[in-house]
Amino acid sequence: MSTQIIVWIAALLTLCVFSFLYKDNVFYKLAEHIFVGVSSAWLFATYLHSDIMEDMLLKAFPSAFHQTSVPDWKVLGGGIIGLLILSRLIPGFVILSRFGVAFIVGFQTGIQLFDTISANILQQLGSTIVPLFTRKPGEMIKNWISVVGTSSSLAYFYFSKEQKGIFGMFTRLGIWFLMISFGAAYGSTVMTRMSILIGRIYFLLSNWLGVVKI
Amino acid sequence: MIEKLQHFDRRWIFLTLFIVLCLAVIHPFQLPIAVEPFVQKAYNAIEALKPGDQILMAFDYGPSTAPEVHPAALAMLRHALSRGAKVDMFTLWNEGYPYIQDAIDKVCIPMGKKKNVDYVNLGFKWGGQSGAGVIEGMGSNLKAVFPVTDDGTPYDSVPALQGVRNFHDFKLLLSVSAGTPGIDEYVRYANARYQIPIVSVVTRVSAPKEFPYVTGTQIVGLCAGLVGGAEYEELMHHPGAGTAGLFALSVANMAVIAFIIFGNAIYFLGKGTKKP
Repeated sequence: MSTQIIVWIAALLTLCVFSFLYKDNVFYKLAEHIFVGVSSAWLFATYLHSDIMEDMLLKAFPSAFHQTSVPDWKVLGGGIIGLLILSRLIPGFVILSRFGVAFIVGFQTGIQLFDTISANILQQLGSTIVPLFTRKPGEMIKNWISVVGTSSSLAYFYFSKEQKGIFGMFTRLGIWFLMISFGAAYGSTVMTRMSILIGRIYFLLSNWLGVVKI
Repeated sequence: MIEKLQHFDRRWIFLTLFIVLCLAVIHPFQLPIAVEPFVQKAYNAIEALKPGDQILMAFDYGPSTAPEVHPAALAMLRHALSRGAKVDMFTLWNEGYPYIQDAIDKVCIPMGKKKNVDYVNLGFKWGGQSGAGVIEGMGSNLKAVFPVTDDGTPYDSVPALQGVRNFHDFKLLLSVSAGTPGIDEYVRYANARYQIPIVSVVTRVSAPKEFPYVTGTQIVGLCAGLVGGAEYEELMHHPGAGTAGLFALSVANMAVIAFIIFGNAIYFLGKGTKKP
């Protein structure tokens, strides 16, 4: 059994969270509030240190931090844009916050436009254009499934034509492909949650109780 | 009887699962491990590295997903270092920072690798919700994004980073990802713009979404979840936390399947009975 107080705290908080499975109780609420508080404090401290101290103040005023590097004033531009967003809190200056938001939206749109089209549309389209007749039977079956699955799933979302007759049969095939992919996603979700639960059980039995050694 | 079972208290399921998993963890049983083609591709990509090759490794995950992806991250780091590659580690998640240190303690130091020579800890850099600015910055000028390493060593004084300017100087980007920013952003900003090959470790839940990217030009290899970690450990002949958790995961899956069958059987058997 562990002699470290931090391991005991972590183990008891884990059990507090698990206790919710029995019913909502004060121990669960205690763990929940500690989690929210600690997470907020951790986020605030890391962003303050990383963004405001290291990326802005240290670069703009290196001498104040006993650094000999050349001051880089342009980093203050980001700080000013950030402060503009906070102007929403001051009545009469709300309009200034829009400049900050506009800059962020414009930057994100500009930087994402080319890359998203390239990575998510063009290259993915290219991967769907595959030979349907090859000498390798396994590859041929895979390519047919890929092409029929993609086209029938997309056809299901085409609402300008009534889904009946041959087209209706094709869209119903698309539903099957969609259901199989949803099933795979759900199965993966269960596996993820179980893996996380196993991680916690390992922690309780290994780090805390010392019953299991990894 | 059927009516009673129809109102079966689900807390019994939680308790059963907890006891079954505890037993599986205490008394593990070695199961045969079949390696998926995507994991084999990831292994091949790292196996192809030559001594002195530079790779970037992103630890973009936190405590909530570490049991799933951390075993594969350790296995891949061990593999890359054993090939003589220089590994530059960083994270865009503040929760990911402790896992870099854990990887150094469990892999780099026991292998006798030297800090700032064989591996570099570049630390945490807040990348915003999308990570676009930081990834784009790393692609054009790594030094501007990480002027100092985690221990405060200036970029130019790090032996491992001599001659390394941007993504073009790296053979591989190894992304261990559990959300945003993560693998999607690296595919979009690092691969589409700079054509850096990516090997990734993702959670099992996000794996179906990432499979289409394993095209050979975007993601070259993929390890999905704890199972992916176990498969990679099998290829490395170095069992670790992934292999240890695999039996428990298999037992958990079988228990869930048993409960699904049980629930459906009760439903169909009770179809003719009156509702209370």
